[in-house]
Amino acid sequence: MAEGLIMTSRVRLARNLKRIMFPHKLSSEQGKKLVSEVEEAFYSDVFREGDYSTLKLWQTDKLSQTSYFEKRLISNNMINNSSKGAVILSNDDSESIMINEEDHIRIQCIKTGYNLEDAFRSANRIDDQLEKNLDFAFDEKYGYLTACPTNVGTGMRASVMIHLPFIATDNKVEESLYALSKLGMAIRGIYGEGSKVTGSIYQISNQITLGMTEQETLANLKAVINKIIIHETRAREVAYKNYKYEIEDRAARSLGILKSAVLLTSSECLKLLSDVRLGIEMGIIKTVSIGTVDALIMDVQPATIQKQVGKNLTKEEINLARAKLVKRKIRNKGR
Amino acid sequence: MLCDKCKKNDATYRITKIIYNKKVDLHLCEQCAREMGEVSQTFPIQNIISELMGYLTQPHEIEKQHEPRCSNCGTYYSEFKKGGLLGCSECYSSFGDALNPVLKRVQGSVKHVGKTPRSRRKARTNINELDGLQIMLQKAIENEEYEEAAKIRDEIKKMQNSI
Repeated sequence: MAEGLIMTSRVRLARNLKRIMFPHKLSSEQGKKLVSEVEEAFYSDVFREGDYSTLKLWQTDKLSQTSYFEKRLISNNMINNSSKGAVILSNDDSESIMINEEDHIRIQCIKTGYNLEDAFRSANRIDDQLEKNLDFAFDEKYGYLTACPTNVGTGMRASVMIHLPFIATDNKVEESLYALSKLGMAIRGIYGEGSKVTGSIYQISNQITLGMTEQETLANLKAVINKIIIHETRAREVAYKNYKYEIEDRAARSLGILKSAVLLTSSECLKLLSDVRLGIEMGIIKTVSIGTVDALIMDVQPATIQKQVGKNLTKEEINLARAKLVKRKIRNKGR
Repeated sequence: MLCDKCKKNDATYRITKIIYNKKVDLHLCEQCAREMGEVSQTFPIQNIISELMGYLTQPHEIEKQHEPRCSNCGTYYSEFKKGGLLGCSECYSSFGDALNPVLKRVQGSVKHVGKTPRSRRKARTNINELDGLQIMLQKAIENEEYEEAAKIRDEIKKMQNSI
């Protein structure tokens, strides 16, 4: 069960070109030029066009940008930089290279489940390709140089998205947060800095990037995650012992609402999906897969729904479309 | 107790220093302590980085015309202080000394030990070897093995010329 708590594992590497001004100082023209340089360095026999494609944000509309953001393919920072920002994406969306985010290059690899090593390996492979053709800003003492000193060194941020409904109800998050910051780790809501926690989904990541190798950082992060998983599992066992029927009832009711609701708001939907996910993790619900729930958690966000429908919708229309989507997915894939 | 420096105000700070292996206690009033750079003002918590920067540069406010500026991109140190972002890779060497304590605070360390780009790997081993030789040189001098120390010194010179 322990591994089921983790939805995705992500590794991000920040890289910059030597002597060239960081993105916030670049004009749109200079930024666009840098985008083509990175494209040229990346596309090759190993990384073919067709398997990967470039999305130039200045050629996309606001709705698409927000949808990419909801799917975590680009960051909020990139939307603000859309006149010079671009992202090279693999077809399955699991690998991406953000260009002109806070740094010139941010390689990001996302794998499903508890898979930090795999994510790192993929990111490192892309880094090896890029460094063949680009002159990265690197210093013997400080390592990879980044726009913000919080990323200097390895430039690596590793994180997992983890479902913690019981630690959350226990108000133990505050406690964990304190303990994590002491260890150079951070826990926050799913959309990064300052974001609200929705559906008991948290992101745990390393904060320190200097003075530790990539492997040490991953090992420390995993040690912390394993500890949190033990806490969450224990909290669940205790709760299940005392409130067996209440927990089963909540999971089953939530699934019932998702199957039959006509209107679903984003926050209600995420809460219900979280309950259902818990039901699956605890073996109470067997008719829906974790993969279906995780895909829905991404797909029920407002801009993504509007993109699927293909036009801008009112709030009520979104809630209607959301309920329809959930119903369809749970019925089709569930059995 | 009166302040050791101005001998006028009441001492509100006791500062203990170790100077040449001797413990020295200083009793200072708030004003003198501040003037001597022994205490810093407290700041509201806004942005960790700019707070750190403020903290570190407070004792000697930098005047605008003498303010460090990056020779490559023209970014002023105060811009970094305000926004938390450097202007380019060369800012790290342009602001070197001012950045070190910031990094130490944010990161807890100032020495990269992770991945090195392929093109830089050779230079890096040399530098690590150089560090090793310098430690050996120090040890040799401490042990008064001067002949050995001279040999190591020549080795270091040779390596420095080759980097």
